Amino acid sequence: MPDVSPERRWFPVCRGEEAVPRHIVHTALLGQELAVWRADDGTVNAWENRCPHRGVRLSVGTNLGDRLKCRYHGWTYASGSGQCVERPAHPGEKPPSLVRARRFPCAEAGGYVWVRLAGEGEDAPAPGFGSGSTPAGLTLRSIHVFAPAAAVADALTRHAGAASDGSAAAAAAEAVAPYLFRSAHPEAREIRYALQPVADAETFIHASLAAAPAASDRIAVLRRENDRLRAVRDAIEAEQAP
Amino acid sequence: MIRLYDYVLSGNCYKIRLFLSLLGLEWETRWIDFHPRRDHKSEWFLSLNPLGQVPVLEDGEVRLRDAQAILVYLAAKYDESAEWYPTGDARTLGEIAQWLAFADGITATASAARLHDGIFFELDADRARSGAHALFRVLDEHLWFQEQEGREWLCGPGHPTIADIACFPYVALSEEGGVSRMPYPAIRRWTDRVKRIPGFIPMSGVLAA
Repeated sequence: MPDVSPERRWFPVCRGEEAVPRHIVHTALLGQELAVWRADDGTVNAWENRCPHRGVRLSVGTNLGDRLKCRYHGWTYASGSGQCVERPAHPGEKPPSLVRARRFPCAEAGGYVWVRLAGEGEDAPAPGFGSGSTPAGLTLRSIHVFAPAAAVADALTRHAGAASDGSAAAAAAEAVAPYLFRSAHPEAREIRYALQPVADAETFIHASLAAAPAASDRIAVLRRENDRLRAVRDAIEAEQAP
Repeated sequence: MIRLYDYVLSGNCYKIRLFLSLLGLEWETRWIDFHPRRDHKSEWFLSLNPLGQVPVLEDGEVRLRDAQAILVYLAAKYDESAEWYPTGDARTLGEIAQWLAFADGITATASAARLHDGIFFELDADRARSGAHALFRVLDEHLWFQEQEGREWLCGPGHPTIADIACFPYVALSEEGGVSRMPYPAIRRWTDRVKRIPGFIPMSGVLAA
């Protein structure tokens, strides 16, 4: 594994289907707040959560379908380019081309939206679990943990293998890259974990099953895996307590 | 005419204003100065509500305290669609009662932290914040699974109920008490949906959609 700075690595920031139309996802990566939003044409944007005009969070603005409007003075930025296209106090005037929302590289893969904070235009491995991976069969509910990503990674390699019936660990999760893990369960279910280091002491665990369950079992499987991940979260947070 | 004893910055008063607006009703307001004048602890107000809490609603001979109780009354009396509080649907009524009680938990935590940060109430703010996070985790998980089953609201199949109105205000105001909603994406999608209900009105700290 080449030594890549965290800012140049891809991290998941939300499940793709949770970037719903006319909504703005408020999240963060390595302490950098993000406004993530999907345009009506399907394009996903990951922008610094800050209006270039007066610094108000863009996540309290409005997703207009092809542009995002700031709540404060209504400055409006186009999907894709981030270019300011409207300033209501200056009607009929074309905004300067230098006024743009700050964009981060952003891609969808394996059921998630992935972002990296630096390295736009540089070659980098595609986000996800590698070119040999099959698409995710079922993305689980992402779990927020009040703990640093390194502690979550450490704990996942110890706890994540626990079988769904609560019996002793059958297989520890195996790291395939920093903050990317796979674990195989006795039932031969492959689970993929991708951690989002939100901030110093906050992490999202994004997890998916490689194989999709039967449609009739879908909700039961989602609930079972959610219960299991919640127990993992509680164990990690208990270890964090002073 | 319905009369509401109302403090403009109270989330529990706002939920009554909001619901009156959603039902398209008219009402008159008696404004309360909660801080710093403490009207709600004055003798004349204690004769209306010995608990010394806002809101209080009067409608003819009826006088009610407690925001959740007022929502029940208004829905049962004035909602002709019977969607906000479906009196004939036992399961949904049970679910609504469960979330009305949950709303009191949100008041005891997220709202308490806001009173501490905003108007200097003496209480353990860190404990209030961690209590709010514990409840928001439960709420976010419930809303996420509702979405997975094609449901947009806290209870029932296809339309919002008074449970959504009861829980909404102090969730939407949580950042004023130092409780970020960034960890709760399903809650954020739900607050967007509440703001798009026809007749929605905002308050200070709760932005329109």
